[in-house]
Order: sequence, then C-alpha cells, then structure tokens
Amino acid sequence: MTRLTLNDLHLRHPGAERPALDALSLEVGNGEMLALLGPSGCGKTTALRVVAGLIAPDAGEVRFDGVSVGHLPPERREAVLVFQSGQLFAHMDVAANVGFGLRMQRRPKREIARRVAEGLEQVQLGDLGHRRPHELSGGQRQRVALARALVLKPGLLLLDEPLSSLDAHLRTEMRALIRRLQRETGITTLVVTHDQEEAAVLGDRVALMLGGRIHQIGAGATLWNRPADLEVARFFGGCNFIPGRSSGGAFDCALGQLALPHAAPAGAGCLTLRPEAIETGEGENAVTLRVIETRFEGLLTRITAEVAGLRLEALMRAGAARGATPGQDIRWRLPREALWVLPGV
Amino acid sequence: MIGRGHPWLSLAPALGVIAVLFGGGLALGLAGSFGMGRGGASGDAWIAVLSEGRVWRSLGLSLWIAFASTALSCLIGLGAALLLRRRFPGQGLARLLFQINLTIPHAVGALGILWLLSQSGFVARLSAGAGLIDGPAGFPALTQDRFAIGIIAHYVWKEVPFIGLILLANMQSLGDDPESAARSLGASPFAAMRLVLLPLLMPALIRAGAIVFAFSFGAWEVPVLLGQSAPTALPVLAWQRFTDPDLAARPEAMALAMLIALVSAVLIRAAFAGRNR
Repeated sequence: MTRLTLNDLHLRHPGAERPALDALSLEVGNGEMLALLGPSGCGKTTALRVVAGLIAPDAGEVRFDGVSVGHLPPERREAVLVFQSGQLFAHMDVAANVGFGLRMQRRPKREIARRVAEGLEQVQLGDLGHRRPHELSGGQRQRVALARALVLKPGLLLLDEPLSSLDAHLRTEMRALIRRLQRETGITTLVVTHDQEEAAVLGDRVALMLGGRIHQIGAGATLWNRPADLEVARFFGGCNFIPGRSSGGAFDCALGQLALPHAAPAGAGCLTLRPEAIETGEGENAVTLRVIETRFEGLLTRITAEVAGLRLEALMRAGAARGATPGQDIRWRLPREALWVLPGV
Repeated sequence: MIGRGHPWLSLAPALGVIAVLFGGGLALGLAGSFGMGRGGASGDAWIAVLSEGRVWRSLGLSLWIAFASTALSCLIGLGAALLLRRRFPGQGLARLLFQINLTIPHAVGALGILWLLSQSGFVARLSAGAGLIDGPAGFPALTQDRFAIGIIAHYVWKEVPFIGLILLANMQSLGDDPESAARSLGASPFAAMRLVLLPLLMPALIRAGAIVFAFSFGAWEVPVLLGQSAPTALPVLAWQRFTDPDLAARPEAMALAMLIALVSAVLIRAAFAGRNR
C-alpha cells in the first residue's frame, strides 16, 4: 500500500508541438482507486509510464509514500503496470507469465507455483495455467495480465485502459472483478481510461486530465454536475452554456432570472446544465422556448430549442419528447439543482 | 477477400513462374544426375560422387564455412540491431552506413577482402610498415587458407547488415512494450532482453539465418576467389565438374548440385523443427 504523489511533472516528447505533461500534480491516497480520465492524446498514458519509471519526466517529481523515486529504474519501483494490450509473453504459458515477476525476485519454485495458482484462482482462471496466450480469449488474457501484476502484491497498481480491448458484456464483468480485487487487496490503484462511465464506476475519485494537466478531481458525480470550467463541462457532454451574472442565489440571463442551487459561485459567468437534466412542464425556473429540431438518438431524443437567440439542447426519453415538434413553443423546466455556474467564462 | 476467384487461381501466374524456373531446374538437375537424357538412367554419378574422399572433404569445408558464417552473422547482426534500435543523434546516418554493403555484389566484396586481408594486401603492408611483422609475407594467411577465414570474413561482412535489417524491422513491429512489461514486473534490462525480447526475435532470426546458411553453403563465386585450391568448397567442386571439357563429368556435377540442395534443405528443416519443439 503506497501513497502516490505527482508533483509538477513536465514532459515534452521530442518533436512534439504541445507538452504531454504540463505541470501535472496529483495525489492518490493509500489504498485508493483513482481513475485518470481524459480523451486520447491528453497525456494520461504518458503519466502512467512516468509513474512506472518507463519514461523520465523533463521536470517534476514522483513520490511513493513521500519518498522520491525519480532515480529508481522500473524494476525497483513498488509499482506494476498492466498494459492496455495485456502484453502477455507469447512464448510462455499462462503459469509462466503469472510467475514471471516472482521468478525475477528469485523466489523458490514451490512458492512461485503456489502463488501462481492462488493468483489464477483470484481471477477465476484456475485451470488454464498450461495454456498459451494465443489460446485465450481477450477477456482471459486481460485477467492473466491482472493476475500477473497482483501476485507481486505491489504497493501501487497501474492499469492502462484495462477494458478498452474487451467486448461490452465482458467489460461489465471485468470492471466488477477489478473493483472487487482492489477492495480485497487494498492496493493503491491508478487506472487510466477515456471512458467516462468506466471512470465513474471504477474510481473512488475521478481526475479529469486535459492537455497534459488535471482540470478537476473529485467524485464522479461532482465532475458531471459541478464542472470546474468550460472544458470539463464540454468533456462530459455539456452543451448548454448561458452567459449572465450570478448574485444572491439567482442567475440573470436572456432566459430571465433563474434560481441557483446552494453555494453556486457568484459573479459574471456562464450557466451550464446537462441536456438530460431538462424536464418538460411548469414549476420553478420554467421557460418558454421554440423547438428548432428533434433528433432521434436511440434511447433518448435530442431536442434543440431557442429563445431570444439562445439555444438549449435537451435529451429526453421518448415519452417526454413526443410533444416536441419543430416550430412549436414548448415549456421547459430547468431544475435548480441541475444548474451550475462557471465563473469568469 | 481482395480480388475475385480462388486464391490458388490468383497465385497461379507467380506459382507458374516458380514451378517452371526453380522446380524445372531442380527436376532437370535431378534427372541429369541420373544420366537421363544421355540414353538410359543410372546411379553411377551418385556412386562416384559419394565414394570420392574429395567430395566429403569439400562437404566438410562447406559446412564449416556455412555454420561459421551463419553463427557469426547472426551474433553480430543481433548485437548491431540491439545497438541501432536505440534513439541517438546521427542514428539515421549510422543505419545507412550499416546497410550500405547490402548493395555491393559478392564478387566485388570478395575482391575487396582479397585486397585487404591477403598476404600482399593492405593490412599486411600496413603491419609490415609499422614494424609489427618482418615483411608482408610474415602476415598470417587469411585468404586461400585452410580455415577459409577470408571466405567467412566476406560472408559475415556481407550478411551482418542483412540479419540486422530483418531484426530491426522485427523489433520495430514488436515495439518497446514487451520489454517495458517485463521491466515493470521486476526484470533488469538484461533479463528483459534475454527472457522476453530474444525469444520473440528468435523466429525471425532463424528464418534470416536459414537464408544466410543456404547462400553461404551453396554459392561458388566467393570460395573461388578467396578459397584454397584443395579441398575446395562443395559448390566450387560442382562448378569445376560442370565446366569440365569431359562431358562425362556432367552427371557428377548435377549430383553434387543436388547434394548441396539436399543437405541445406535437411539442415534448414531441422532448424525450424528444433524451434517449434
């Protein structure tokens, strides 16, 4: 169990225009599972490799339990990285793969065999020790990769997009397995993902990384509903941004005066609310808009409506969306708790 | 599937050329070795060849040349590839210099070796001039010598870039991740290379090595230029019989050529089988 601290990391890949890591700072508590979320190319995998010791940062510090590990090669760090593709060694069978790290520690053969068996049992692959990696399914390979890291009982587990190569139904299963194993072992875990849902389910906390730096860190729901800035809101699918001014628990804007939730930031800024939070009907914060367009998106329908040159988008279930016809006026309620103010935007 | 029709049909033109040129050559050579086309068929040429001590000595020499050249080329090629894959300033130039002798013909390379390593060659003169040896004649025989050092030196010089090129391409497609995974699991850089990278490179190395072996075992121009007169390498012996004014030696030349093809096929097959076990 290790506390991980990233302190002001900078890294620019040779020839790259923008830095991969830009003043990246982060703290992962003892036994915590933190999801590092971000779009592809935001530097999250780079950050993971820096922690693992596979890449050296240009500047900044990586600390395990407060002690800098910058000088330590990957094999001497208390961290094990599980690669996106699993990276099982194709020329070894499953048992040899899982036992590889213990073999590197020169453990006795008998102990290795016992711990490998336990490790495979943990990921429910007890009887597959003699198989070769190419004889396994994608989900099994990923579980072997996980077992290979866990048998070492590392202080810090680094997971790089562990579910991205799996089918949808396997993902749910694997997600539950990772969650359970992390709870059981209590190993501090940093999991990198580009999938918002995965981050919300896996992480005790979620850190959103954009352009090489952390924009916001907190519980999944906080990032979703209380974004720190415009980019965070946009990343989570925010599309409604209404300029105006917040004061005394209300927001003055083109839609009139809207009641704000408790502790909303004050001053000039941008009001945001998630498209799926909008409801039809009367009540507090009800406004009249003209429907411009409706678009069927499977489970939900996206409705674009306009008032006073201001456009809002709502995502609604089929029943609620039925009344919306382009050209007609519609009453929408913007629930107070769903509103949030991005100050200074 | 790209294109229409059965894959065999699409491959037919290429396979036809291969079958006629190579298969036909082999079939004709085999027929010739049994004296066919000269009225009747007999195993006389094979019996003559296999009962001749000179042939066995030549076979031994050729095996030595091929094994030594292949082993050294693989070893040095692997080392060079491991060095050249790292990023460093001037890497592009280093790779170009490394690969440049791929373009030089074997005969030209062999003449270069002669000019460099023979007892009247550049190194001999240089050593004599520097007072390391009494005169150029005191220089050890490295060409036309018993151990075929000149021939092996030439093949190594020529094949190291070939092996290196194939391994570099292989490493590029493998990427750094297999080794990184090993390192993260606690392997030292050397252990990661030995236990993970090398086994992954082995299939490519064996394939490239088989090509080097087949060539250095079966080619005659380099041993003609750099080899001693007796025993000669097996391909040289076949070439001499083939160009003999006495046409009766032709079937023996064919039998020798078939022997070369057979031995290298069997040995390469054994190498692949050993790998798969």
